Amino acid sequence: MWGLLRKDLKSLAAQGRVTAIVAIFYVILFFLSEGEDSAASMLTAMVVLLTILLPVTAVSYDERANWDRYALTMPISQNMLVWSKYLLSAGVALAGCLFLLLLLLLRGQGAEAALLLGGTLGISLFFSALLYPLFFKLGVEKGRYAMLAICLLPSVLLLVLSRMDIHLSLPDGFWVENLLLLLPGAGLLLFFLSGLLSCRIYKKKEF
Amino acid sequence: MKLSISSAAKAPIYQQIKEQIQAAILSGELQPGEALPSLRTLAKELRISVLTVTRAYTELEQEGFVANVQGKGCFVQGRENALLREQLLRRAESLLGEGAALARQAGLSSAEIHAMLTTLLQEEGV
Amino acid sequence: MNALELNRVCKQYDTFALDQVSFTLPRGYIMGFIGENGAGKTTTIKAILGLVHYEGDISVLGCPQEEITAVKEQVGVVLEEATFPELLNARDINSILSGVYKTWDAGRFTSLLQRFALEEKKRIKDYSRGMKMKLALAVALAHDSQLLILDEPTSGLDPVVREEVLDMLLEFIQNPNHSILISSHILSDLERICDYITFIHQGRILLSLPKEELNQTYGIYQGNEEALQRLPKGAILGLRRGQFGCQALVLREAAGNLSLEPAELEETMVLMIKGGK
Repeated sequence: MWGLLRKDLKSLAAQGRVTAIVAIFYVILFFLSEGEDSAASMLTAMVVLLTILLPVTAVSYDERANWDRYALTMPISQNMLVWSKYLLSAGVALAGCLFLLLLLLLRGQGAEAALLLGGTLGISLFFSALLYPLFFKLGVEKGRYAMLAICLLPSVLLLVLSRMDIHLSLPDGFWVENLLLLLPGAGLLLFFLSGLLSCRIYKKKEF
Repeated sequence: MKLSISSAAKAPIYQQIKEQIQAAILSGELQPGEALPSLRTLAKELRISVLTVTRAYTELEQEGFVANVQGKGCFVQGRENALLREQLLRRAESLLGEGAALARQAGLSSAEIHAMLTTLLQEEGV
Repeated sequence: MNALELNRVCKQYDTFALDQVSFTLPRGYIMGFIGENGAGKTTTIKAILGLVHYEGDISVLGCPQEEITAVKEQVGVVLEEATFPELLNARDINSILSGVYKTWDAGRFTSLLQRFALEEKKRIKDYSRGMKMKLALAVALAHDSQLLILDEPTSGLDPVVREEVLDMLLEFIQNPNHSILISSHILSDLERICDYITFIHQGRILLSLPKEELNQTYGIYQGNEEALQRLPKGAILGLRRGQFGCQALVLREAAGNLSLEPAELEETMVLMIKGGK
C-alpha cells in the first residue's frame, strides 16, 4: 500500500511544477482580493480542484503505462489498487485544508476557519466519491466527460431554473451553518461507500 | 575437458555431448573417479536445456561410462567396470568388423588381413 | 511440486477462445510457450496471473488461484506493454518496490540496472522497448522469485541483448527450485535452452512435452501418400502435399515399420498447423 502511494506521489512530484503554479496563482489572488468571503471561497475552489485533478492525473499516468496490469503481477491486490487511490485523494484534500488553514491564519481570518475547512473537506471528498467509480468503470478518457458533466450540471440547472423564473430561496444562516458542519461527515461516509463500489467495479474488470 | 556443440550438425545435441564425453573417457582425458560438471552448470555453459544434459548423462550411465551418485553428481567409472568394458568390446568388434569388410572389398585374403592386424599391433607397441 | 499446473482452462471472447488449455511445468525447468501471434499465449499468461476471469483450474507454485496475490511475492513477470508510469525513473522504482515486495533487494536491483546499462535517472518515457523489457527483468530478479513468467521477452531486442537475457535466465535456473515460462512466437535461440515445449494454436494446446521426447513421440515421413493409407486412424497428425510426394507428421508408436525421419521442432509445428488431415 505504501509502495503504491509512494508511486503516485513520485509521479505527481515529477510534474509538480504545474501544481505549484496553480497554487501560487490562487495564493496571490487570495492576498490581492478585497472581500474576505470571495477570497476564502477562491481557496476552497482551489483545494477542491486539486483534490480532483491530482488523483485523476495519477490515474491517467497509470492507464497510459498499463500500470494496473503490471501491478497485479506483484503482491498487490485489486482492492489495494482501489483504496490507494482513495487514500491519495484523502491525503491531498487534507493537505489542501492544512494549507488553507495556514493562509487564513496569516490573513487573520482564523475565526471562520473551522467552518470553511469542514466545508472544503466535505466537498472535496464528495466530488472524489462521485468521480472514482466513473473513472474505474469508464477509464480516464470517457471519465473526463462524465467529470465535466457532473461539475457543470449544478450550474446549468441553476441557470435553467433562473431562466424559468424560479428562484430557490436560500436557507437561512442557521441551516447553512449546520449543513456545513454536517458536510465533512457526510462526505466521508459517501467517500467510503464509493470506495466499496469501486472495489466491486474493479473485481469485474479484466486487465 | 573441452566440449563444443554445433547446431548445424545433424546429430542431436544430447548425442554430441554424450559422444564427446565418451571419447574423453576412452582417451583417458577424463580419469576414473573424476566428476562430470553438474547438470545445470553444463547447461549454462553450453547454453542448452537442463533436460538435454540430463539425457546425455543418463545414457552415459546406462552404458556404464559414469555412475550417478544421488545428490553428488556423476563420476567417471573405472575401466574395469563390466558395463564399460563390454561397451568397449562391442565398439572394438564393430570397428574391426568394418575393417574386415573393407579389406574383403579390397580383395585381401584372411591370412593377409591377419598379417595386417599383426603389423598394426606391433606398431602400437602392444 | 510443480511450478505451474493448468487444467482445462477456458476463456471465451467474441472472436477467440482458449479451449481447455492444460499443461504442467515442473520445478527446476524452462518451458517455451510457443505459438503464432494471436494464438492465445498472452491470454493464457493473463489467466495464470489472475488478470482475466476464466474457467478451469490453475495453480502457481502449488497455490490455488484464491491465494494468488500472496504467491506473487515469488513470481517475477515481464509483460509486453505494461510498465511503470512514464514520469518515474529507476531510482523511484527501487524505493517504490521496496514497499511492495517483502523480499525486495535494493542493492541487487541497482547492480542489475548497471549490468543492463540502464541509467537510474532516466525517465521511463525515454526508454526504448528493449530497455523496458530489461527493467522489468531486473524487477523480476530483484526479489525472491521462484518462477519467472516472461511474455515475448526477446522480441524486438538486438542479438547482443538477447544473448545477455538468455544468460540471465540460465543463471536463474542454476537453482533447481527455480522455473521459467517463456512465451515467444519464434523459436530461434530460445529452443536450445527450453526443457519443455508447449505449442498453442488457435487457443488450443497442440503439444506439450519435454523437448527431448519430441523425437521419440513423433517422426516425419517423406514419400508417397499410399504408404500412409495403411496407418491406423489418428497416427497422422499433419500432412503437406507437394509436387514430388508428401510430408507427414506421424506418431511413432502407431507408425509400424514405416521409416521415419527425426521430427525437428519447427517442422513438427508447421505440419501441425498446416496439417489439413
